[in-house]
Amino acid sequence: MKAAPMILVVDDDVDIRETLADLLREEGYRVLSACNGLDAMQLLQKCEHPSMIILDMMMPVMDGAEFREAQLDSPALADIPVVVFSAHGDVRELTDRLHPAGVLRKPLRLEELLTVTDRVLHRRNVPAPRASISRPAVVGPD
Amino acid sequence: MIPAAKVNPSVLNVNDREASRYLVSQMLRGAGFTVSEAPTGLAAIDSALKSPPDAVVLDVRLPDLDGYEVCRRLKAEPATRSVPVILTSALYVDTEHKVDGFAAGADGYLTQPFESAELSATLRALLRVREAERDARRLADELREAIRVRDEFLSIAAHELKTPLTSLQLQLDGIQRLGKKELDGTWTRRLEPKMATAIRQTSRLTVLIDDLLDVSRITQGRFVIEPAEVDLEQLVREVLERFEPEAERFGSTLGFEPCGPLTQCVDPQRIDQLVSNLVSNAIKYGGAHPVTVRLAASATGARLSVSDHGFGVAEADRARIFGRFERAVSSRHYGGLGLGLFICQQIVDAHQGTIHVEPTPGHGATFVVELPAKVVLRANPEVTP
Repeated sequence: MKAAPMILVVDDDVDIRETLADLLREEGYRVLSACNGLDAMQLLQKCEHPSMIILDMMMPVMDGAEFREAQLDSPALADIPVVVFSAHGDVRELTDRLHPAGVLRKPLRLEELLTVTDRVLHRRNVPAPRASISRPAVVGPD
Repeated sequence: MIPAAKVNPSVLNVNDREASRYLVSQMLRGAGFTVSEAPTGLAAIDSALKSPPDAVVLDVRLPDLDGYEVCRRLKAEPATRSVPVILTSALYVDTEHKVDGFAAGADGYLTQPFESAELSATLRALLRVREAERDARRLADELREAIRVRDEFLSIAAHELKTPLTSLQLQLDGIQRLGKKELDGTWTRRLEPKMATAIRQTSRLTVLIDDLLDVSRITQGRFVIEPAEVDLEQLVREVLERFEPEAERFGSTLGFEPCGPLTQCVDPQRIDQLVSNLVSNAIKYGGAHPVTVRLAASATGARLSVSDHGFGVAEADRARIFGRFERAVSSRHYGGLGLGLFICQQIVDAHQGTIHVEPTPGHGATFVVELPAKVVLRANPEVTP
């Protein structure tokens, strides 16, 4: 039986890291995690390459953008698709600079995480649903 | 706090005739000023730029540059711009020359002969004014800095709040998903509504934090739009679909009068936010009556309206409610930050459109948005902080 796809989660917040790992494992994926860009780079040198990387932007030691640059500079790693995971709203700036396979904004819904993961892993050539960047439909704040 | 004025303010005394220069210097020293001297216009400018005095007493007639020109040049230099200049002359004593002097930037004009007391009183008056100007400038700088720090804090705080919210929202979704899959029907039925409420509340937090971030972006002039070709009809449909459960919860219904596909160049995320805000308001203030959204092509682009049948917006409030922290109703009775319509206005401005509110026939409020088909991108929309 073919092994389940492996996903590397890179985020400096331990709760987010564990939450993502937990939820993705629940869906049958294998998950590796790293607490910053450098940690992730070191991990990638010694273990099986993941099928996808979920990458936080603001991290100490080596941030998401620096990691992405280093990754693209390395022929062995450059092809691993990266989904950028950021609390900043400026999606276009991120995509222009980092050319990720997908963008997830914090906070996000589980459904968005799973849809984007599935799309990237299967290289489905469909645009990300616009719902992934829209506002939650709640009545409350005016 | 107003700092104590200098005890011995420095005055640069400029005059080519030695006797007059000496006389004025004596007057100044006698009145408690520290005096430096210059015999020509160029020497005066040189000295003032090297070490700006607190004031300049400048004779109009000089061998090189005349007093007017010296005054103009001093007022053109940032280092000496705010140094008060008093022109003096024994020769040019008529109104016309005085007016020319003031036009050259002089702060005072004394005709000789003058008394020591008059010279000293004029200088002290001008120094008082300059001190007040400095205080006002310092205060304005401090305020600007305080606003900058506040906005930076707001932006960091919003960012920090999103981190725990991210795990919280994902975990709640995870529990819901697991519950649906693993738990039996009764449990699911009892758990489901509680989970739905918890998830809805975290969504509210998300919207509140996003609004705070938007306001800090707007006041820092970093609120930009990213237009793309968007089918507005599809966009409105998606928003309405999302709000269907909320409308139901409030006992309202959402109606849509579409116009067929209407593709226009807008920022999809921001227009989604605009429509969401208007629909959310209509549900919230619509008093459980139906809400109707209309979309139509107009002569200049697209016209979107959201009508509710609530208590409406009083005529006196119709312009005010688009301001920051403004609301048509008392904050005690309705929650929210009072930012929704302010952000709507900014989104519409960034698209060079218009937004206004008018009464719905019968009762209620109708918000009307006009979005021009052609958007000229500006680096930063102008915002009055």
